[in-house]
Amino acid sequence: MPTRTLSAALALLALAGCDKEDPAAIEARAQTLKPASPALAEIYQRSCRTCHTVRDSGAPLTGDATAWSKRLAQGMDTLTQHAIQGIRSMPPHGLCPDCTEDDFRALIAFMSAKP
Amino acid sequence: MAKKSLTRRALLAGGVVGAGIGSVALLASNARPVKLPPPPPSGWSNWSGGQSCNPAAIAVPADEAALAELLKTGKAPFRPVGSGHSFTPLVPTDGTIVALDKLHGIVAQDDAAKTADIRAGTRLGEMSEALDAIGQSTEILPDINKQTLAGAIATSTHGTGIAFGSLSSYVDHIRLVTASGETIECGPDQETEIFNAARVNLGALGVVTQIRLRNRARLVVERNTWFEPIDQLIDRAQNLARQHRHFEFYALPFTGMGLGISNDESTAPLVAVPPTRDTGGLEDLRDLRDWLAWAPPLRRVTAKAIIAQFGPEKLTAPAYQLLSTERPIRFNEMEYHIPRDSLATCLRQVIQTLETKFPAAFFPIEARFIKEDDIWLSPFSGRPSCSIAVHVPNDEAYQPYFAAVEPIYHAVGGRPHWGKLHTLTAKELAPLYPHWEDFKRVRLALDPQGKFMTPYLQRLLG
Repeated sequence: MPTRTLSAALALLALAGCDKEDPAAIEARAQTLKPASPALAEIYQRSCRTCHTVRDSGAPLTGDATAWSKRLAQGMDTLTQHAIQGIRSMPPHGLCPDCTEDDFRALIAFMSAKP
Repeated sequence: MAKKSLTRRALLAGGVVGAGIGSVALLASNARPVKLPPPPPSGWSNWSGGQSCNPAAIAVPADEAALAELLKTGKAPFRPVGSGHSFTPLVPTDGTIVALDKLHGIVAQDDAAKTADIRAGTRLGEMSEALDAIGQSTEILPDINKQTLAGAIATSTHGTGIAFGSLSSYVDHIRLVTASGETIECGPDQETEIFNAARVNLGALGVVTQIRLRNRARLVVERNTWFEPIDQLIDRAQNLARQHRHFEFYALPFTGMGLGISNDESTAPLVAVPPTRDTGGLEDLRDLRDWLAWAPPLRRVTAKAIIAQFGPEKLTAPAYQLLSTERPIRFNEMEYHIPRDSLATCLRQVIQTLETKFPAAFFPIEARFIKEDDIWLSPFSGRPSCSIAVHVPNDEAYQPYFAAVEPIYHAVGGRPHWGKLHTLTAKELAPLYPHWEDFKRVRLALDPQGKFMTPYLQRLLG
């Protein structure tokens, strides 16, 4: 591999490394975030927050826009259906039996937004 | 699990590919994926997906008044639900599921007595954080913290440690809304018969709305985990349980190895808790199964070689961050509570049964220690106990495995965890509980019309 190409590749790798946020920092930040709406914050506190602020749960963490971007690419309708039907370790309705579709959309929008 | 995960790379380096069996994966019958029923469109299913129903309504009352009105006018049978972490059909009903989600948070605290009044729908994880914020810790926590406090109390959910009972044994006061809509308060000096029944209640007495827990000052623990040959670990288990505040261990099937976990109170500096290795380790045990189920000796040698690479791990953190862990892989579970001195014999029989008849099994077998109590329907009533739990992923058939293991527990007078799969009915359960008829008498007095009774509850209680 020519030296110049190798240098460019290394630089790209370094940049990629810089872009990658520390998982512990992402988790710590997730635990501080809550929706601005008091009503939504109450729902979030007793349901989504249970798993979406804990790295080991495997769920995309609140405020981790990178982790959410892959999910958002599927479309909000799909994500809302996942919340209603359950997916992987998340049970149907994601620990929120009283959530409406609109609630789920608002909660997903909040969790997936970059703080 | 340990400092390094049993990574797939490690598996390959450990000889799976080198053994020249790269494309072979023979699975036993219960490893074949089972098709889970789709979740009911407007219904309910439990966490594992093994229980589901289409109730007439799922009600989420915001307070006791709304709950009382619901119980007067709603469609029975009523079944309270927490987080749906029970594997038994305690919740399914064609009447009304009563979700406790809106009843959450700490209501009051006594800093001197270290007690807290907690709404019944508070999940254990939220509760633990809130208690930490007021300088309190529960004495124990189960290994999952998604359950609500009411659900945990209803089923006598426990942690591990010979000096510590289940969460129910730390309950000092209960508020309960009964079938008639009446609110009853009970405690050690108030409505004592109801209190003795309500501390482990199966959701059969009414809907618990608030619980006072007897806690302690904030607890920091040092957790140590290590691998050890399972025969040696079983031999040492009773001593280890006496030496440590909390001790539990896992038998890793088809490896000849076990994983010991101790937690002891500590004043050492806290460390940041690293990501769990449990999930990766579990996936790798499954990989070992998938590749080598056909050759148990090779599976054992390979596993031992891999595990030998991993040293012990030590962490110091607030207890609630270490005693409970995440479960990203959904499963079904059977757990029985047996007399403590039956542990070694019973566990060896379980391991032998599994390793001779069920090559597809890979989930670690969990053994824990629980102090005796005096609660009527507590599985720990009147005897120091150990629990042995077996698990199967929720997309694999558990019935043959659990059916083979369950008689081992019955032979030593085992009592099932109320929220975990078992086949017992009132006929077999009644002789196991000296206060069985007392519980039924209190239940009948509180719910003479059977508003909380489903066909399953009828079979269970008689």
